Amino acid sequence: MTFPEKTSLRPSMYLVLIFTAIIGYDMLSNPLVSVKALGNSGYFAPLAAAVPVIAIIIAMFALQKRFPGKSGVQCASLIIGHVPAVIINLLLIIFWRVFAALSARDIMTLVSTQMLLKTPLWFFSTIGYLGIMYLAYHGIESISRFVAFTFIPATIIIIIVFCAAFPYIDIRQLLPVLDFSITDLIKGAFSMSYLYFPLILLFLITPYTKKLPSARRFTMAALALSVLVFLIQNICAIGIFGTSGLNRYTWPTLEFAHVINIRYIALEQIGVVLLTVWLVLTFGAAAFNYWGTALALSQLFPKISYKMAVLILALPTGLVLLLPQNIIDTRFYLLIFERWGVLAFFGHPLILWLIAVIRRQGKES
Amino acid sequence: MSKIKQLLLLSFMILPVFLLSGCWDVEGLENRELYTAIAIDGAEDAALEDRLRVTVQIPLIKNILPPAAGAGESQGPKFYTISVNAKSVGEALNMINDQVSGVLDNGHVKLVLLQEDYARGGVAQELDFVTRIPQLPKHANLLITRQTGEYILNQTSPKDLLPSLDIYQQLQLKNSGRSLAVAAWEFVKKLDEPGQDPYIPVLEYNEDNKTFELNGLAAFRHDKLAGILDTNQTRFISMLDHRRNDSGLEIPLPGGREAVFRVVKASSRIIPQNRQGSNFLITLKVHASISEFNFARPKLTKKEMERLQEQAARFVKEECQQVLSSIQALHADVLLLGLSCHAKYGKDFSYVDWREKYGRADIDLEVDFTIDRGEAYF
Repeated sequence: MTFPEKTSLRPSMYLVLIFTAIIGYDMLSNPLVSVKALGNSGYFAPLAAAVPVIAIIIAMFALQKRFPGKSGVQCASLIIGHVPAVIINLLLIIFWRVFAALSARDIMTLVSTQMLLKTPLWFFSTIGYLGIMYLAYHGIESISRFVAFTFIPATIIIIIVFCAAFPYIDIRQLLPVLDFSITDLIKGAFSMSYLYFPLILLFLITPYTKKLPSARRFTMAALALSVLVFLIQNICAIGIFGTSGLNRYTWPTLEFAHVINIRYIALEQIGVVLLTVWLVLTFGAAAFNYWGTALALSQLFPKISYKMAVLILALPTGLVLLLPQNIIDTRFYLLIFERWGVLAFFGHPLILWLIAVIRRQGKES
Repeated sequence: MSKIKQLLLLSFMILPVFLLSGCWDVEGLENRELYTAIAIDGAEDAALEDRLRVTVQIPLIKNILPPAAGAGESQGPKFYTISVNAKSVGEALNMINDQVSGVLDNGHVKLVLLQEDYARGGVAQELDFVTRIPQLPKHANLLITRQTGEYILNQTSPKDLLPSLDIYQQLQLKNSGRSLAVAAWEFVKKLDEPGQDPYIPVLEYNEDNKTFELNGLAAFRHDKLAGILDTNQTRFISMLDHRRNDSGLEIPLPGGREAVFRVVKASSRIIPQNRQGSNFLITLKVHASISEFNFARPKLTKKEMERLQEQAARFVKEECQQVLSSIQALHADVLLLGLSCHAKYGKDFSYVDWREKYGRADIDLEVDFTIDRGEAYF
């Protein structure tokens, strides 16, 4: 089910859904961005990027308090009027779908390089996306059931794999700890903020609960857990390969997992374990994102049913997924979205909330 | 949902299972040519355009498997080698792939051998393939060979093991006995980082004993082989570089006497004294167990023990200083003193002309030697 009046989410599901959405995309390559901004102190970048996100989460829940049962898309119509809301939200949906499809393409290239070496990329991408559409078609309940099932084992395995890499760290490569200026830190936070773009989905799931304070706490916990994973991951990648050394690899996180050498146990190829587990999270994250855009589209144009929206989005998503020639193309386009997405994904909810407060719109006015 | 729809959906879901298993085009073990070692030598005629001589060692699986029930052990050769001349390692691997009956499999490489003379000219380009082939194990060990790699890979192991596995086992089990194991990823990483110099073990085939011997370390200046450290120096490098040391230690005492120690564990700390990187202090803490005295003194008094510790510390300090002088003379920063300086001073430290500065740096050493235990009461 995809309508809040017919279904609801337990507050703990906010932890599971938001964590999966954040970790599912770009977990394996973000140290490349963090070292570019902050060098050997790159592990501060995901931490710094998370600070403004707290304000965004608070703003989204505050909007829900003002407009109970309304999603971000519906709130926008009430706050800024129907026509501007349609234009802004439509642009946001397009932006979001393209970003999600490009991120998925990045991951498909990884699968093609590491796992399905001879299978044509278009083939398993199409099959994978049909699976994601199938999950999204059945609404948030199916998605939440899927991610709830995978969340605990996946998180535990990811953290264990990261911790297993600790002995390979040369601590000197992480020092000095505070070797950056405030400007560098702001730049680092800005460049890494794309990791938290999936939080925009919160705009669509806040109407699914009546226990808002509890849901907010679980969302904050999801953010904290994600920051912890990113922090450990960056410490391992920089500590093992160094700031220049990790630039050699397209997916440094996967490469440091390959470095782990536990002799005489069955799991010698621990990198494959990490990849398999992480891909399950990616599948859940992709379905959640797909659900979000389809729901937003159906709420924006009430004549389009949710299930129709799922089908409408299939062709453009497939095209964007298959359009880039290679990883260089994909990363080039992704970089554009990562740079400008902050305005769209974080600016939008903040501005809506500010306008609502200034105009005294909604329940508290 | 009607039953027909359900059946259609089920068939649609089952179909990809056959296609997505990842095995539809997989090569069976019998069709793969797994190579366990690759040797990179310079071509004999340096004027040749194909300047590399690349050799791979391919095990004959049917001859190395343990005898199955009812079948006797195979007496045939355990492996064969293929050598080609090429411009690059990648080109050589393609040529070898064309020559073997199966498909060349990169997933089981244990050793990458680099010939000593060839490595003096630089190996960064030759090792590019190490990180570009995702299936190549990150833990493949790099070695410098005194003879050509082609010659070494054609020798047989007295243990009747596959030679590459014999050497790999030596590296893994006897770390710092005569050499130190270095994984390919570690070496390549140091080439990428400014001012970091790698070292790798040295391998030699002993023709008299018909054994593969690990003899010391090859110190690099960036990607060029700068010099070779002997087995004794290797033991002290292992102490200074936090490596495990199972080889023991013999301390000469006055009067031609000797104390032998085993299970030597060391931890060192490099403390840069200034941001120019011209002065360093290295503190070294060594813990060891007594293995033997070659003089009739089964029990030592507390005072004698303290004197023994002092003598051992003095000996270790002298040896370490000699090793430090040797690697400084080679301008090879294998202990990563530059990295320690960067870790302390950050952007205030510059890697410009670092290897020159490093060669002239004053390095002070403080050694603390502690005798932990011995099976007999001291």
